[in-house]
Amino acid sequence: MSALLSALATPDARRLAIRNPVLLLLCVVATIALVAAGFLSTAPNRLADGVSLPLWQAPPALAVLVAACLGGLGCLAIRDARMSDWAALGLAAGLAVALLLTASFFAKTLIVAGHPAQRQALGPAFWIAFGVAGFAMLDAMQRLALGFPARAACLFLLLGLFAGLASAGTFDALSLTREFVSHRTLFVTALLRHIALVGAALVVSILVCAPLIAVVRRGGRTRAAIYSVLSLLQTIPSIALFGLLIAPLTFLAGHVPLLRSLGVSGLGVTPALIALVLYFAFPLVRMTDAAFSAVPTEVADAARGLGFGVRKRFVAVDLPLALPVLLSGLRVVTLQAIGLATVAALIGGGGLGTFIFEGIGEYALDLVLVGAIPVILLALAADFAFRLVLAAVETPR
Amino acid sequence: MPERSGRRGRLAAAGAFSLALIALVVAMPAFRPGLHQLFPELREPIYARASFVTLTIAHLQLVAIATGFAAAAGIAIGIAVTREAGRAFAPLARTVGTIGQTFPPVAVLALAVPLLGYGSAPTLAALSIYAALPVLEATLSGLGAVPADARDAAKGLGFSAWTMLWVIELPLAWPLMLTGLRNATIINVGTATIGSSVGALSLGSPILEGLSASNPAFVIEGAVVVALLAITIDRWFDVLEDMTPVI
Amino acid sequence: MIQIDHVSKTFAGTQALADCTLTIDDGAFFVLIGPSGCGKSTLLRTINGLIAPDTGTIRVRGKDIATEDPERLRQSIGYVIQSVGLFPHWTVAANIAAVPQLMRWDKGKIARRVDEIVALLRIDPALLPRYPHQLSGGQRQRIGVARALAAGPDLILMDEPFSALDPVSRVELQAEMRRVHAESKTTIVMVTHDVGEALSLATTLAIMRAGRIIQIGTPAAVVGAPADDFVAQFLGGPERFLHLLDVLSVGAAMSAEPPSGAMPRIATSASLRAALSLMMAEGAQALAVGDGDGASVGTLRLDAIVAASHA
Repeated sequence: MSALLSALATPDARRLAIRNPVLLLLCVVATIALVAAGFLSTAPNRLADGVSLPLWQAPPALAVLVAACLGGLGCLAIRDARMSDWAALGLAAGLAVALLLTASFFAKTLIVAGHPAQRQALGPAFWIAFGVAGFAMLDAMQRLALGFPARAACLFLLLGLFAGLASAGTFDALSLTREFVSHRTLFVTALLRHIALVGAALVVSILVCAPLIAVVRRGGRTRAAIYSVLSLLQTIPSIALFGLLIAPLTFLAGHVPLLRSLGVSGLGVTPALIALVLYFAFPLVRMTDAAFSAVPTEVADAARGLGFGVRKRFVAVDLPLALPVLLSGLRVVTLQAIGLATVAALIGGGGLGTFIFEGIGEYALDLVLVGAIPVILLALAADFAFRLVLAAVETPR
Repeated sequence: MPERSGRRGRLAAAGAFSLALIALVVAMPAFRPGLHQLFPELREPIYARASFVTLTIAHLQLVAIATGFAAAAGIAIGIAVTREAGRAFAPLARTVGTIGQTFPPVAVLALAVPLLGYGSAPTLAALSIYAALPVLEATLSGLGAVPADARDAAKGLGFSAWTMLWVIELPLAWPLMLTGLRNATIINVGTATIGSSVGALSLGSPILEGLSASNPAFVIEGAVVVALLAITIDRWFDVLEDMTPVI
Repeated sequence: MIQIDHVSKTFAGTQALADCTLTIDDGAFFVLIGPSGCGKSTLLRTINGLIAPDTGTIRVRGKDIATEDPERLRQSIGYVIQSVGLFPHWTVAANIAAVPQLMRWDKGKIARRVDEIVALLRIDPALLPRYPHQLSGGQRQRIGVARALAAGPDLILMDEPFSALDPVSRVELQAEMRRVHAESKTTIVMVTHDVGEALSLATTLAIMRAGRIIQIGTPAAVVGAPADDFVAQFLGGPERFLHLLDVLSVGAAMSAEPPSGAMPRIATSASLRAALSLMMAEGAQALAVGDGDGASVGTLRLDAIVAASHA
């Protein structure tokens, strides 16, 4: 008893100690959003204004499930429990799944027979709470100091669950799903086109930049000149660069039959590809330059002193040491390319941007998401892939 | 002194680009005969829905307001999470900064539309939020690079937390923060151009209208002006960097 | 000047300070010494409130520092650290003027004070407009000391100030500190792990180990009568007496008997170490002691040196 009293008298016990202020803030944000904003909106068709519905009008069992996950996270944020961070990770994942299920079944209850144009869209409260669930998972992983493989395992587990639910038709009542399903074949073409554009641009720019890099590595006045021109190109807005290429390419295609027969034209893939290559030149040249400059001179010296030939030295010493920097340069370029290829849709370059701009033009907001969400996922996937490779080639220093 | 002549050169370049931009924007109608000759099939070779002066000012307003918000938010959050009280939020802020920057800006713009509708509002919101990320990242790395011994000495000599932030930490972090602001501004100039696709008035308006109406003259006019604008702003950042003392 | 009373501090389960009690007199050159990790830096940093003790009180100039405004307190105490910590974006002059600026002195007064300090520490005025990265390590720490002295504090804390310097700069700056202390009667508290430095600078020495103060006393008293084997070993075992000879002057050990004709000469102000070295070089058992004008004032014998190190 006296031990308890003295424990209570210590300042730590008297003050309400918040274990994890980050998680608490996230829970507060999600709670405010779920109380104050619409969770789902329903409209008789695309053009009509939707009616915004809050979470508490959803089927009670599901709404309670969401509230329970959120409440649990809140408790974990304030009080210390055994395995708190693991519990938080589990509950955050649970919150994400609960939100998806709630939205889907809530949408199903709203379907009115005989109104195929009816649209059930996800509201801001859903997106904010979903984002909170993601951040809470990230926070828990950081606190647990999970390594890359563990994080990847969590991610794939959730993706698998998501794919399972999707193929079981869980999300069918949501207009996002409907929009996606009705554009399914176009979507695959656009996605492949997008990836192909990025890939082709990467390959072409590497080929184009190789001689530039050789010139730059030699140093001198040309180096400064090349850098200033390339960096200038970087500042020009993408759509302007596309636009500036249209007229000269149209002219060339009109006057040089050979080019026209090769498929060169003012609109479409050609200007998109050229613009992407122009954009990549600067980061590609600079990163490669930096990568090889970063090879310590004493290491290169030692290799020469040990009798390595030029080619052997490049393969055995320079390249492995420069590779991590090279790859992080390629990562930046690829991520930029995914965004730029989206804009290329405006000049007929195809790709996922088509859905975005078509959706914006037709006031089909779910169609915008059909383009925007995969673009973001594609960027995240590319980022993930590069991190994976980087983790594999990184030499301890 | 070569250093000073370099500075003067950069100042002159910024000034020259500014003058060229103003001249081009004001004198745009004078290009009508030339453009007519170049594109004889077009009935209207000069974008007429709004003057280029209006478009340029609207574009600059979008960029200035959004970059202002982004700078205020990015710097404030960066400072907050590096103080003793906010340190718990630092890892999350760092992660949001890096993951957020993998999102293409055009996708962020597209996401703003379902939430905020059409017009300048979603453009402004998307620009502000997206541009805050590089500023945040730069502020975090700038403040992180302040030498620990300078902090220790400052505290031991009796600097208050505010004085230390104001006279030691922020000045030392400023060069990196300026790079972040530069990136944010350049990204905003580009994204504001695309913003005209969601109904914001900007220099992207003639480009997009030209594309949809097959009017290459509109496209070129918008593209040249916005490219010149971007380069001009970039040159002024050169001058701003020159004004920052190099340690 | 300072009363430290039953101070303890624990960092993440490790006891850094265990019930430390000591008093530092006005005008003392007080040196805290001990092996690394013994808590000497922690103890120093409790004096200007950079580390708050878990229990115990610290009084500076008679006032409990827990009741004082920490920034005011620190502005009134000079602070010098091993890594110097000059502000890299400020000129040397601005760095020296840092604390007077904080205290909002007027410009003229600051400029006059900077000139005084520059003269006192024999800083080349050409360095004033330079930036810290343009200075050598020794120059940097000299500016660090100047910055600590700038507001004229009556107390200076120094945390291993000369450990990272080259031997030449270190000896120069030690001499500078000895002179500043002798001229200004400022109280100095210094932490070091260098026994030679401690014995040559200290008026009072405190030896610490594992968060505890083992022994306090004058250098001669501690070397002559170490509290335990650890102290004796730490000070250099039997060779510790050689360090003492650096500190003691010829004047303190000589006798007034007039020297006989052939003895080698040495000045009263020279150290006993120099005297012993001269005896060895000349093969002499006794030296003639002279004052500044060349007149002989007494004799120094070998047995007097031995006796002096046990005084």
